[in-house]
Amino acid sequence: MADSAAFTHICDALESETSFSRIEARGTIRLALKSAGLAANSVTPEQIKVVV
Amino acid sequence: MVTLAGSLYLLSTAVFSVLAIVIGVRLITLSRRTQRVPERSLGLGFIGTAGLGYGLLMFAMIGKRAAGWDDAPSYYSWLLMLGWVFHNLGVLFMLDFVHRVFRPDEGWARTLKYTMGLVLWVGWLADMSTGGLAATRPSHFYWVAFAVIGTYPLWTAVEAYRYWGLMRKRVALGLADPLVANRFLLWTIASMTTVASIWLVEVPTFLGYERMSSAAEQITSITMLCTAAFGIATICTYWLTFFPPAWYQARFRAPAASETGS
Repeated sequence: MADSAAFTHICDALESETSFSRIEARGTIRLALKSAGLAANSVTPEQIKVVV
Repeated sequence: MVTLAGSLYLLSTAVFSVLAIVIGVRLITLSRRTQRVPERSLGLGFIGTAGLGYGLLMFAMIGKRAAGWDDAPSYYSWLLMLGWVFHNLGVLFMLDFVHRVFRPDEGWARTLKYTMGLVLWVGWLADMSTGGLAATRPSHFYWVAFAVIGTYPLWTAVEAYRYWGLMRKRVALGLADPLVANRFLLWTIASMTTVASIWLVEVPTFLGYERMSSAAEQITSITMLCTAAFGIATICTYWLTFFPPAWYQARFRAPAASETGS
């Protein structure tokens, strides 16, 4: 199951802007999406904007 | 009591069949416009299971019973068989809908869909080829098919309930329409009442009574009344899901409107 482009993009941004490792960044975003009832494979840029 | 229960049962099944066809046609029309497969699968599922399936089965059962069951013309048996074919095809489309909408990328869901479809058809064909249509007691093959018929709406119910939870979280963030989120709860309720109807019809058989026997009349009248009640609940729930009246829609629009106003 491939992650959406929006998810990959925001994870890359979080990784480069903070001291988070790749795994930490992806895990953090996944947790945020889960608490919003969203999934990494289908989340859209508009939804990411609201959640993060 | 028996007559009242039978009449209610027939009425609720008839209304259910007609509503299923109306919803099915509407969904297929929508799928032709949007070129989307899930709507088509659900539409064909409704028409197959509840519309043509239950409709033909009920019509053939009534006709065959009125004609003395064993002495009834053979075309009633053919109609019964045709009703089952439509019903079973409808179940396949329903399974396809659940897979495509809730678990499109999951391999296990695809496997489950095909396995359930295969078990249903193998069980039903084996039951038919061993005289299941005329049998007073269901064969083992009948229960193989029933294992799918009695459980496929449970899959729908579980997935819809899970998705309702996700949608509620999205609604809290303004990422989803409350009315659309509520549809998943309604869908869960409708699936559960469908499960209840399917299992209740089989209660006399579970208790060891022969089909259409006079000894089973009392228990059958009770189960028919309960099945009718669940059938009516299913009809009402589907109505709210697919044709929500203005007052029902207003329940979900009102809080947002008042917030905007203040």
